[in-house]
Amino acid sequence: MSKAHARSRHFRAGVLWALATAAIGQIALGTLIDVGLPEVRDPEYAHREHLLIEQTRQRDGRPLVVVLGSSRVQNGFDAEAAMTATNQQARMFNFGIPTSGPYLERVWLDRLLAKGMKPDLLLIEVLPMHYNARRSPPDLRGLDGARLSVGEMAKMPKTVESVMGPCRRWLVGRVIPSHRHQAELRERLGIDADAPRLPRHDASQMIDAFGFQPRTFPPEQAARLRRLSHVQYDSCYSEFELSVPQAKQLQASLELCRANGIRPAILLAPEGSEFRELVTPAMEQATQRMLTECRERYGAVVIDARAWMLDPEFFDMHHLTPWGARLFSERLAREAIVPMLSGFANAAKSNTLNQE
Amino acid sequence: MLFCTLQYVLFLSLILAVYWTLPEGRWRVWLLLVASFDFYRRWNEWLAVLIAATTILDWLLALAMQRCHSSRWRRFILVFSLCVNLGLLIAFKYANFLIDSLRDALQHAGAEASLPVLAVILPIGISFYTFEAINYMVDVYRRKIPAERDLGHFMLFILFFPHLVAGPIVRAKDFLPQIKRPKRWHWPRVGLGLWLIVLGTFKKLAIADRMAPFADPIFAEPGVYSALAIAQGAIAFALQVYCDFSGYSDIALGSAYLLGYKLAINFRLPFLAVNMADFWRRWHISLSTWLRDYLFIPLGGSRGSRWRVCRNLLIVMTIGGLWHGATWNCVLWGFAIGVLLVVHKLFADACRGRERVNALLQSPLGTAGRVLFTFASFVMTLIIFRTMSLSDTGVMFARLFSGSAGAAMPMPVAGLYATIATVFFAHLLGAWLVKHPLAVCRFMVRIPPPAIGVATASVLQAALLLGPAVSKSFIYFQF
Repeated sequence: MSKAHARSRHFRAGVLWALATAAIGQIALGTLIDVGLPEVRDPEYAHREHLLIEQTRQRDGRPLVVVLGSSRVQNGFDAEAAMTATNQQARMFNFGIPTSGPYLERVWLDRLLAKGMKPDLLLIEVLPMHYNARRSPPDLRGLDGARLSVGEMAKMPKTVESVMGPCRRWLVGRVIPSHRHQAELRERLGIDADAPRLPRHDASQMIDAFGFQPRTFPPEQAARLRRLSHVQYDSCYSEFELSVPQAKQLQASLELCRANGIRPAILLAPEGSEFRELVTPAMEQATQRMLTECRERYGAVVIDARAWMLDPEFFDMHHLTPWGARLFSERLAREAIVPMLSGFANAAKSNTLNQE
Repeated sequence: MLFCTLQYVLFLSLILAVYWTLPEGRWRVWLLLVASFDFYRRWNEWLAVLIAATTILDWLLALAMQRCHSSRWRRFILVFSLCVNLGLLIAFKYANFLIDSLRDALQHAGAEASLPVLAVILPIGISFYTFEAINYMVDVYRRKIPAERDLGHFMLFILFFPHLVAGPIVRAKDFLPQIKRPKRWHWPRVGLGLWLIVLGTFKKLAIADRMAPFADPIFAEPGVYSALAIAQGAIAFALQVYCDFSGYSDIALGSAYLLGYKLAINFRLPFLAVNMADFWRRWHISLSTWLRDYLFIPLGGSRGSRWRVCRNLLIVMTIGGLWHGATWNCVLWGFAIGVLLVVHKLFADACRGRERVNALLQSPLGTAGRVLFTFASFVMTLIIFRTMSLSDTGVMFARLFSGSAGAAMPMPVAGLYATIATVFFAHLLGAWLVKHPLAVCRFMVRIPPPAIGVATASVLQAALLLGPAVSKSFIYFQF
């Protein structure tokens, strides 16, 4: 073999080793993130879970109430105010995460149960617009699949939107995790420990100890935000036809509640008059049919709070202002949660964080 | 499309896959042309069309010049081409600068002036490809190279995407023959190309972008910080601009290697330069050699009286400064570099024949002192380059040299010192490697391939992790 040929072979082996090592390294890191580093994969969820663990650390015998939902819940349920309104009869926690819909709510519940966290009462938010079969579901449309594990991805409703968007993002997150999860990996490795905090951290710091994220905007932005909400969601209200895959996700969550002895309730969160007026009779009928089935099959209490709040309590007809959140939370606690808690009063069961 | 993005990795991978699948010859040239056009089009479609149009015009003018036997007509064609190329450069890059300067001058003179501000977008890389077009036209005029007959080849010389937006400034005599040369997949060259891309990515993401948070606040509020913080900020900017631009150049060279082309080396361990003249032989070499060949030598170069040589140096470096940006700071920066070169020349002339002084300067301690002095001088000039206005420059120099008290660096400086040490040792290692090329070759073929692979992948991984979430644009894109 000539020297040149040997050199060429040597370099070829070097290049192939480099490419293979880089590829294997990325896939190994992706697998590690998928399986063993959930806080890197989904820091937003992990932050809330951490807060919930902190809240339930003391076992004082009080029942635990968790509200699962979207940004409407995140900005709209002031758990601390609700607890005060009920004389601290229960511990309450806001588990609202933006863009959540029936599928993600099921994922969050799965994760909580896997962690051994079993609330006594679980309020699951239902946004009827998420259940329109004729529109691409807003919760799946923009879903960042990289936040989900491979097992969770498998449970996602198989729609064009879920394959094109979330699956593609999941694939990027697993094949090149250094690119997709770079910020989270840096945080985990403490690379930016001394650097000024990034806006994302500021956002998570705005979430209070009970998961509530009050949001305020200057009044001059109200019109723009309202317009934005309408652009995002108006189409989901028209030509409504109930989406069976989405309804099945809700039912799966309720089934999980039943299997784990959790009392479920369905919350239709407040919305402004402009959105309520968009609800067509067909949409209302289909929604009621679905809710009736949930009530009958799973014993879920339905709390229809859509018309509870006046328009000035919203900053975009869609999300509540901090003051609106306070009013809503107090009413929700008094009129819905306390009656449901009465069954727990004498049970005195050990009901909170069960991480064994 | 930035080099250090996933988008570019996918783009380059796709081009490489198709390129090496296609048969040798015309198809590959047109593939690279389409890819290069697409690469530029992503910034602005109309400007991509404009570059393509001016390139075609230069191609036609060069052919016309070649066919023309009258020296007067040849000169006319050259001047016409220079006017078109420089006219576009001035219109896009310097028009508003000239208008603003005129307005300020009129206002200082007490005259009312309401001159318009032109709404023009600066085409990325215009300074680079204008200089490439000029070097081609001048070389054809001087009959150093024949005019290129193949439009595709000529367009690829100007538009080749690895060097299109920020150099290196390629010469027609170096690049055009490469297009015609048969290319084959060559593993050592591929390995070198890949390594250069990884190294460039590391320089850009892990060093340059991490230095920006040290430099940016200092230059944003020059009146607030202490002398020490200003010095730290200026050094951080020196490391940033070096790793940013040399990182870009490494990726450009590496990308070209993967396609079977070789671009000119742009940096050769500049922070080991022992004087300012040496520095400019190591820093942005493709520009400094262009300025030497197409400006300094035509002005008379080093021939003639000492005054004439000094004048030439000042003119060339001031124009070099203006090339970097349409601001008075850039002009002053170029002039300051020119002054340093003149001072060096005068000092070198004065030392000639003084053996004891030369022996002292050549000693290890003297060499270290010269390297340090050259680096410090360059960092000082960068203060002029980086500040937003001449008044800011004045404030920074005043605070720096008066030892003013003030705010400390807003970031922990351990990272800055670690980076200074890293760049310093990398320079020493580089110098050793350059000095012992045979030993390096022998060593390289003895390293087990898995070790090369793991080392390369580790450097890449470190770059990806250390880089900021959103990489900054390359500094030299604005030029």
